Amino acid sequence: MTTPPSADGAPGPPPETDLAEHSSPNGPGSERAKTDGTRAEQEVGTDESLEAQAAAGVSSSPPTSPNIWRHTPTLTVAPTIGTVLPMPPPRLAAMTAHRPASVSLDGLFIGPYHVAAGSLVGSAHLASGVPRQDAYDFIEAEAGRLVVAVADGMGSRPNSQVGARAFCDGMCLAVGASPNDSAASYLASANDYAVKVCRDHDLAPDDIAYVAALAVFHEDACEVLRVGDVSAFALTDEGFTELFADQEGHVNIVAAALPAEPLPTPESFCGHGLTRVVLCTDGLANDIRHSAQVRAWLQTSWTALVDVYGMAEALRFRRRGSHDDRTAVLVSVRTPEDIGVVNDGITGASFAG
Amino acid sequence: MKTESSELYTIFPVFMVLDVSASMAGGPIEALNDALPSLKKEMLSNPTVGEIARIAIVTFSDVGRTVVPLSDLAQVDLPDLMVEGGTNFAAAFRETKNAILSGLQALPKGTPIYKPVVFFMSDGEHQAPGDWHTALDELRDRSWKFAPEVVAFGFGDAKKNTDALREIASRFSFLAEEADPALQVREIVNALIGSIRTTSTSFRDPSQADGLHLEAPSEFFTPLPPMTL
Repeated sequence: MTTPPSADGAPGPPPETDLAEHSSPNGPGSERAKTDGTRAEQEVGTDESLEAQAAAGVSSSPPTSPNIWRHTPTLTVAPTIGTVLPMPPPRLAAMTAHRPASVSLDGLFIGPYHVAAGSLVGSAHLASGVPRQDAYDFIEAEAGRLVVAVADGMGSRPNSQVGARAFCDGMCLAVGASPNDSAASYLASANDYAVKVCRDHDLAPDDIAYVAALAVFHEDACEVLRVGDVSAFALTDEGFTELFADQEGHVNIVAAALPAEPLPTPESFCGHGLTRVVLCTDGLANDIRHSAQVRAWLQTSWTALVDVYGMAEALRFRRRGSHDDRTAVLVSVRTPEDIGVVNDGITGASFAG
Repeated sequence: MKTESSELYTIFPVFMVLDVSASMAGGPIEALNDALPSLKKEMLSNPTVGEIARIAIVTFSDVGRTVVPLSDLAQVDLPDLMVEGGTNFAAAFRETKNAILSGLQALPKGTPIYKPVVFFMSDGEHQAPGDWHTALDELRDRSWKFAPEVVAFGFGDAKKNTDALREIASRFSFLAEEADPALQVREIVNALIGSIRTTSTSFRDPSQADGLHLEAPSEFFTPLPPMTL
């Protein structure tokens, strides 16, 4: 079967119609979504769309053939914040090598920690056919020592997802080789590994440019190093507290990036007694900084330990102007009392941690 | 007036500085008026542009005018641009600085912004008493927190003095290739739209590129070498 050409001549699904209409729904179940029969997301011929047409006073003439090529987002309770425009269909550009999956999710216990992590491709990347450029990984080094890496490929670089992924892989390999090393050593090793991968793939270092953060959790301490604007927040009942000072300047410019030789001096944070820490790329950090609704939504979503689906849902909010990849690694530190009795969340039974 | 807000949306401020001197009469000004709706269409149809880019339109002849202050172009009626008198670059730069200042100061405090970009477009040379360099220096003053990246496009008689275009641009200046000025105008507007689109969707870049991504195809434009002092 031949895929219908798009408006710009590239293969792919046909463009959505009525894209010019603004929308400001509060989720798919909002009044707006129910009453506006012209919205691009409105599926033709469904009970919901017929009800919507009736509510909007639109003639209930027999529905035309449903457009089976229309990409209909699944329902979500995640909020829509601000006035937004319908998104064009998701695409993948031809000859896209080194493509990670559009979504990566985790939600599991690891040592004395619970790690809930999610990385979602940004809507701008989906619209322009670019793969997800964020990456994360984590590994328990030895009992009670957790190392986490989060990396964000530069949007303008053709293979930055390679650098971001390689940094995270490099961190895991470095920890595997030397479980007792320092955060700074892991950062340097991960950078070196990214350079090696870059060379192996015959890519120029600039082509895989990324920014990254690396955190080591041990006992009640948390050390975070970063190069660039990947950030970290402490999450408490009072809300989010950013662990680094927000980088000043324009949001589309960063001062430092990896891979780099020599390695730039990373910014560092070291704290004690933090029970929940979120490492995240700027696609999410900017929303946390600048949106009270996003902060409230995430705080509610992350009140309890979340599984993979909960993590995906938490990151699915739609916010005006927020189109970058979103990645968060939420580390919850279990106290000795917490570890004594843990609900496994599946059977309802308790087990000794 | 600045207001505090719990919802601060990222803004990419773009300032189009357009020559409406008498030499633009006929095809060029008509082409400009015909092409501007395509920019509005892009704002309406592409959420990655329309939700971020804010556009101002400044015209200049003997005087500079902010005909569209920094706005969501989807929400404003586009003006019908008219040709006026001479060509005063100093007036253009002074008015542009005013437009940047008033546009960005009106945003809620703490609004995250991309580096502002000025797209300067002219078909001629400065023809007014006085020097224009001081006004340009004030616009591009690196110590000014809103200092923009200035990109210059020349066409028509601008080719007689490409040094002026090179001086005006922070780094990037172009001369349109087409023989017909109306086609040149159209290609320049297309280049502006493409650059706004690409920059809006490229979230960051190392400082070397200052976050700006230009879409000025070589078949339509001759890039001019940067002016080095």
